[in-house]
Amino acid sequence: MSVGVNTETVAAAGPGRHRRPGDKGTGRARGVLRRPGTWLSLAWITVVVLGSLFASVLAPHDPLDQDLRSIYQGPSGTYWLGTDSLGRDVLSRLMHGGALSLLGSGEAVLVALLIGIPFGLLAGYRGGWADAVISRIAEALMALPVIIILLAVVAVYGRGFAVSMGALGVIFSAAIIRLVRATTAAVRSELYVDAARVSGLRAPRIVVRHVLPNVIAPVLIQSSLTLGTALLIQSGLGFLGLGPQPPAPNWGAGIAEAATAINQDAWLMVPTGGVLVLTVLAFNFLGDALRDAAPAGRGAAATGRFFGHRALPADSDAAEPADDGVLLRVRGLVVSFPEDGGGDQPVVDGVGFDVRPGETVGLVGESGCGKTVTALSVLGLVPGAGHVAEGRILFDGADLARMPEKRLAAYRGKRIGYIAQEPMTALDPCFTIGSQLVEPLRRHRGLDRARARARAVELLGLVGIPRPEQICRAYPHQLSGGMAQRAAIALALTGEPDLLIADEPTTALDVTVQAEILDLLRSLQAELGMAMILVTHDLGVVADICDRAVVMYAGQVVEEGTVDQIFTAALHPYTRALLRSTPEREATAGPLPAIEGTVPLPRDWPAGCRFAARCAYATEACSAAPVPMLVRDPAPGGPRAARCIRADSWKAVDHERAAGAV
Amino acid sequence: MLRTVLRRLLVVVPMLWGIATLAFCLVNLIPGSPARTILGDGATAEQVAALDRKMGYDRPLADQYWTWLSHVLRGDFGTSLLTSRPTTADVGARLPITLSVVAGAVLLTVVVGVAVGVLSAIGGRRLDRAGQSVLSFFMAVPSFWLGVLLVFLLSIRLGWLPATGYVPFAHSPGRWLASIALPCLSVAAVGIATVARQTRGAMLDVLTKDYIRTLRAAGVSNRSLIFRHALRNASIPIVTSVGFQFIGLLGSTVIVEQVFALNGLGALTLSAVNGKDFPVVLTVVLFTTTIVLAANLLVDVANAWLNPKARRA
Repeated sequence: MSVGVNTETVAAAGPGRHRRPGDKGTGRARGVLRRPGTWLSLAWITVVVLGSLFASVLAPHDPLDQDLRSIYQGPSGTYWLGTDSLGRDVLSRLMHGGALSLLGSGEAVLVALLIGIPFGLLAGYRGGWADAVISRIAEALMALPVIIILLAVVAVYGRGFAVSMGALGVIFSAAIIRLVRATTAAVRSELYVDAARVSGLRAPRIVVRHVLPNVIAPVLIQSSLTLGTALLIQSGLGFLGLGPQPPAPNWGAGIAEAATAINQDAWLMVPTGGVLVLTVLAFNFLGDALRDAAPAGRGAAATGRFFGHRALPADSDAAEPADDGVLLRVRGLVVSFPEDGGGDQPVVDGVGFDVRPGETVGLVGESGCGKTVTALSVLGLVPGAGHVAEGRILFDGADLARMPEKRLAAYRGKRIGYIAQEPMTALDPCFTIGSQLVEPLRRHRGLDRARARARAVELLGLVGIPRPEQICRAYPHQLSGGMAQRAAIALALTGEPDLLIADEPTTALDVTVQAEILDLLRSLQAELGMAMILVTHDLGVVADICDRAVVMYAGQVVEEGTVDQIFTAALHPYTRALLRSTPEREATAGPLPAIEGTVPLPRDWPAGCRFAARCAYATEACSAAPVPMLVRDPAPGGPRAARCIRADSWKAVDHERAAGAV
Repeated sequence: MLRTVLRRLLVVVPMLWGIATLAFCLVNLIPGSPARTILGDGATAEQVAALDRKMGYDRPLADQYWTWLSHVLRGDFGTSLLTSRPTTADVGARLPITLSVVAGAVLLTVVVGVAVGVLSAIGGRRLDRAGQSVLSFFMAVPSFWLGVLLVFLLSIRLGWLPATGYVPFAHSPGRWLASIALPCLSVAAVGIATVARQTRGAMLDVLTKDYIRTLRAAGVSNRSLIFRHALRNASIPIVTSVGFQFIGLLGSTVIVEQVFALNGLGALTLSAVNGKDFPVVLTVVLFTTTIVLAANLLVDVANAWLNPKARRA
């Protein structure tokens, strides 16, 4: 029996996104209501409640009526669930006992709410000493051996459920206090509550109008689960014979009677225990469903895709010849994610580019253009349920998209390294920097522990970490952002990869540190001769470090060329817009022009040019049909191309605009 | 580390005192007199007065409380009204039985619960869905009902394990294990299900973390990612959940002892409750509270040790 508190709920329903007065999260709620289990649970609870409360009318027999000629009878037309050792009707006894059980559990929950909500609100809203005292008391209540305390209560106040269930409510109030306190404290720090306070609303009004609505959902969830637990505990007391005096029925005592008669009639165990199990199950299920429907709930997590990388089936098409010195050749890459309503939605749509050994290619675009997904698909690490649906990812001649996970795994870290955006979350907080480096070093280089350790220190030195021996023994949280990113770079270098994929490696860092990290990447590349893919939204970074740039928009490559070409003669209006919104090294006067509008979501991608809606030069022809990449110059070092029907006429446009401006 | 323990002890000791005081008040603030409750309505006024005098119930409450507390601090928890022996002797004799079952159940809860939870998290959608249903079921099953069914099937029908009775470990380790196997299993079922759910949730959460992806990209094997990195990071919520389960396991054991006719703390408490043996009830409350607080302390220390941020702070 689960006594105490369901910590899962408290954690899940605690601080999170909060509901402001007015907004409704009905989408998920409707999904939960559609589940058959929700309806079954509600139906069962209704049946049990009605059957118990109106037992005196509905029960087919008197629960105390003995018929010694028909004891231990199985289910029959007269006795639907059979009879017990005294020939009493089991169904009628369950119905009459149910009222007692449900009222007792209801009493416990009610007491818990009456104590828990006000004290939780007080502790969460006032904070300070009130919070300290209330939290301490709640903590003490949660450390009580519940059953033993209830036995002591029964010893003092006698049998029956009235007092003991009240005491159980007091103990359970601790969980409600903690829950309400956490939610209140989180809501209290929200801006709209601050605004209400500043505008002069008094505390009680604020609590009622702004805090309570957020508290109700988690409390409701916890109440449903608590009802189930209370029912189990109460039946335990009944089972021990501490319920009301026999022969009055209660569910726990019914199981005890069935247990003593198990050799005569094992069937009796089924209805007596079954009704209890089903009712508790229904309350638990309802609690879970409510949690999934609540706006702060985390819902059903995607599972089963951890082992990732679904390889495409091998095909007979001979791969393109790889002896032209290309290290990575991506062609026609489509990455899809399953949609809610079934079917796949591509988020990367026919992307292609090349990376040559030792070269740095920038993958540029706003958020939501598919840069990161493209980069991760090279490693077979597309997040969640996404997968490569079409295309080729030729690395050193082998198609990674068609490679089974086992073989692809051998490329990760060893041939292709990866640096994540957020250094503070990119390292495992539970292990030292050293041990995180030692593990892949031993795997890739076959070093023993001591040598791997020495190499780890060397690598940390290489990425410019002072006192590397000391940092080797440090945990990630003891490092600054810049240091953590250096350590993460060292991790990516453990296998001495030929290609390094850096996903916005400087975005999360301070400006001064950004330059240091870029310098480090540049010098490492010169020293180790790796190729690099740099995912970024920052054209300044591209100018700083890249040889070539691939500009992405809405899942497609829209322009490709050398950094010089991109910066001096951009062919796509999107690239030009990006350039205009990038700050120059020398501060320019006036506000930076932002690109109006946002990147369309994959499901809103138009058939024609995807940038047309935001493009100042769009014509009707732009939206008529998909725009292909127009290759200006198929240079051997990488093509010069753009996905714009007017790419060839930009010079003329520029002249016109210049003339108009003068 | 040591500082964590000391800091927790600073909280635990007053807490224990508070609960002891509460329990004392519960018993001694009965409407009417404790002696009347003990002796029942049939007793004469003289008998009640005599018992009141004997137990000191006629003295002022503060006086009683002080005497009781000073005795408790010296390890004197009073004398049983039923057996006239020191209550600590009674409790001490029963404790090993209950603790055997609780320890076994905790072990089962941790080992099986974590294993099922990890499998559920990584074993694919179908296995997960099936697992979730089974776990929900076991979370709703009362331990005593499960115990009765287990006895009926495994002992009475199949004869694999003894139905009742306890064999001390020193007597025969094998038979000791057989005697507590079924009680442990019936008590642990809910705990296993709860811990498995918690483990599953924590693992799924951790597996989506950035560092799992970076380590994977660095070439760390799946096995190491799951069992070294993910499980280690998930261990804090798991340990916390086991701590919460401990109280439930203790309570269930007290009840389930009746099913298996184990003469443990549950049987002692039940007879004390029915016989209004208040000194024994009070002693049991204090002992079990101490055990629960000790278990919580252990959980706190374990969490502090598991969390590098707390360890060095």
